[in-house]
Amino acid sequence: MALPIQILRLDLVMEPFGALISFVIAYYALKAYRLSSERSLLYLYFGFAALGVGMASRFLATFYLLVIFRVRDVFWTGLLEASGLVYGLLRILAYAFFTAAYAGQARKVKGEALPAVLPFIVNPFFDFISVTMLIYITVQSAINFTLTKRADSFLVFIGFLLILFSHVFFMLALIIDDYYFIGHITQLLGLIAMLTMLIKVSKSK
Amino acid sequence: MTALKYRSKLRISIDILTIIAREGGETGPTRILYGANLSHDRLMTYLENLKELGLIEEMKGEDEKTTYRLLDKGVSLLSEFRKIDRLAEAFGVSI
Repeated sequence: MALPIQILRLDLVMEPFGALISFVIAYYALKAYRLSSERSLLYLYFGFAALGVGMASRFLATFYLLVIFRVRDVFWTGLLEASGLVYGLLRILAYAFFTAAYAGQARKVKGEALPAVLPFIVNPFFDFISVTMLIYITVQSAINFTLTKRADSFLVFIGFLLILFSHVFFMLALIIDDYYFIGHITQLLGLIAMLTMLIKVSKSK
Repeated sequence: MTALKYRSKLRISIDILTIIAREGGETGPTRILYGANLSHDRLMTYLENLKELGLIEEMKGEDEKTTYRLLDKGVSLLSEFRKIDRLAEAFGVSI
């Protein structure tokens, strides 16, 4: 049974939270880079900043076009598609930075609007590239966890694993709409896992 | 063959500060020398640098022996470094 559209629209609430978490992690990565001058930390900063900018821009575009302007015609759906492309590119850029880091080491939308615009905001090609890079990143974070055996590393591994799953769900969303919502939930959980790690680290003495 | 682990300048400075902190916040150069595993000349260069940054201060005791004392700025840096070290380690990055 398909999820009600009210639940599917929750992505409008989740995306800004995801952006906020990404910006917080980016801020700490930059702080760490400034102190250590370690380039991998700079890559992590750029990666999370790109992810945050991507999520924030797509939230704003989706919110304005679907909620404020109640998009209907080709021009607006074209803009929505463009924002989806920018988001996809920023994500790929973010994952490329993560790969480089490891390599060195709601408002209401019209009821039927979301399924109708899914092809414009979900790009399976970008998601496929993202999945490919995330497999590498997740494996590296898993290796790091097995070496350190620390809860912090485990949370980072879980975070990347969930983000990887979210992209698989986004690809499946073109077949079954419900996966779009599940993808967002999974993505947010992944970022929450990383935020938990950050809180643990910042509270440590 | 034994692999030698490269220590960055920051890591060596942190090692020196950690040794002073472990010795109760003040200790002599000999203890730091052995603890940090540095040559005398290199240690003196690092100590001068840490003094200039206001992280430690040089003290002269009544017996004319030199000791180095960790300052508040040094304590803050140590605490901050431990956090970023954990953050970096969580992502598999070594500083």
